Amino acid sequence: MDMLEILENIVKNAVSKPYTSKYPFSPYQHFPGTRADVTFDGTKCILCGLCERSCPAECITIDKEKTTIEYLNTRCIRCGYCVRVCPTNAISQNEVYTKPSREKLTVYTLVTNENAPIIKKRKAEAAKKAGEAKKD
Amino acid sequence: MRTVVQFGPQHPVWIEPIRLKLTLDGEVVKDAELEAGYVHRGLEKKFEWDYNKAAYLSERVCGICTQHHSTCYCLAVEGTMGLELPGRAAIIRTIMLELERLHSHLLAIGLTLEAIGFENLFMQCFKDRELVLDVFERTTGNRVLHGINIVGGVTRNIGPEMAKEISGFCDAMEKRCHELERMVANSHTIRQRMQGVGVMSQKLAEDLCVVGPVARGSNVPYDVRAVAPYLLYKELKVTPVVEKDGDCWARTMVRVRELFQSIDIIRQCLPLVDGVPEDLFTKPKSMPEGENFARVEAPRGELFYYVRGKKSKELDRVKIRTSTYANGIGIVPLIKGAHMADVGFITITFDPCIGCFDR
Amino acid sequence: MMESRTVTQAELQGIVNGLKAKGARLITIVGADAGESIEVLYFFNTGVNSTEVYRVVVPKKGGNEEVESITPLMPAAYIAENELSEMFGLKVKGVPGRFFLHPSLKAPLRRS
Repeated sequence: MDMLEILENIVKNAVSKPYTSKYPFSPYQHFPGTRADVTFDGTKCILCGLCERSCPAECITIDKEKTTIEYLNTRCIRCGYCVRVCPTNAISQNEVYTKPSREKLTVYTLVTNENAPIIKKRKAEAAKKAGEAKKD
Repeated sequence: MRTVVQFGPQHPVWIEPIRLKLTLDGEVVKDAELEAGYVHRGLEKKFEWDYNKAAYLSERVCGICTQHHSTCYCLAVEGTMGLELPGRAAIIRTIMLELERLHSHLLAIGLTLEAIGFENLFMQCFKDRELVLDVFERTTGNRVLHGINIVGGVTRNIGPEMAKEISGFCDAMEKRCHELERMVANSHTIRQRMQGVGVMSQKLAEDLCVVGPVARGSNVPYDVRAVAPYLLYKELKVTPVVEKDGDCWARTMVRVRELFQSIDIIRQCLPLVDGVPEDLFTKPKSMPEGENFARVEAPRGELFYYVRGKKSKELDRVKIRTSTYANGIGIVPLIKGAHMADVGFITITFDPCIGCFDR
Repeated sequence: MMESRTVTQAELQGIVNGLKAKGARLITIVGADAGESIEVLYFFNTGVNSTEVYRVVVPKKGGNEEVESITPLMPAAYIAENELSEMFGLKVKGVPGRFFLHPSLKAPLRRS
């Protein structure tokens, strides 16, 4: 009896179109809320370093001298911990997966936020020095 | 005359490497020796880490029972800190645990059917499993390795529209599971192949303290959801699904019947999402100190975590005892006396997860 | 939090005999490094919502401390005692010491 059902299943599979899709040629239909890699916004970051301390894979490095954020994309595990922890919401998570590649994808972001404490301090010192130079 | 055959680390019948050294006399196995450690990653040493980051590490011990590992770890650490879970987090965790059990049992049934040669039904099981993985992607963001459990609660919510979609999914899944059960239970060939092979008596199951469907297929009603309830199982009563024979057929039927039990539990949990307040996690106010343990019913059996803290962000000792670790001792007594053609098949009905065994 | 009872090795054999007669089951055996000594914890499940934990303290003597095995009474303890012996460098009588690691690694979880 079950032979007839399996035969019907086989015939139906032979004449219908395949259940799988040809992935690299037809794009992946993702759902909203899928977790892919992460982008940093240079105008909101205040260079506090919380994301660097809380990353389980240790893939974020903050350089306070040059005010850049280095993000190793190939090492990231897409967990979303840095998105939750950032105090100014400067990190956002994309929804489309990165394509496979042969080189390491590393992203450098320059921080230009005027309110970041380090940038403010440097600007204040530079203004003070310019004021003193003008006085002499 | 005796020959020694290596059922070596690489074999097409199982997915992960484990080594059995068989001593054969003709076609019958006389003696066997088990050797493991090919996937040993030394995770217990790495767990002495920041306790927040260790939640992401505990998911990656095993790929099929990830939600159970991270829930058990979070329950153990929350016990050392004295944190209270909000009601909504308990409901979401219970729904995720039952969904995980569904897709793991479908995979186990599919692998058993592939081992006896029935490839069409194996592909059908994996096609049904795609429905469950779609639900995971819609709620948590990933198909496996979900990452929504943190110490203190969960990070993603299930709103009213999501609850309606999950309820529609339950109806579609139940129809497919009924078809699967009809094909397996009414089939003459599958029954003939599986009955009487690899019998574990009730006395042997109680002596070796095996857990999971292996024990429940041999008339030992041990289920952590009934013996030591946790999360929402204190209100929803769960009766263990038990079969009497102890052979491969009984273990497979236990897994098929537990599919329906899981769908029933999800249906009972979904209406509870409405009345509960909206907060998803509580912020911890102290560091882990002292020792605690937690137990959870994973798809393969009982999972046990022991955590000891030393009043700082790093943990002192974490010990994981998984279900394949407890069942591994039962493989060798069952193989002695069986035919060589049945060795791979008996091991598959144990549902071994060697990533959990070796850690 | 969990409660536990500290016992000596001789008392433990009597306790395990009593538990086996009552129908309890062994969950696992855990070893932990506590600075001056190594603690071995035995977990048993004795009924609905009841578990018992027993602790044995083994003072460190610079390698090769000895612990009595409970495998003749409860065969379920075989893999756990093997792992205890190879991860901490204790000697458990009657059990071969290796299960997971390569012979060149010695006691990785022991701190001194």
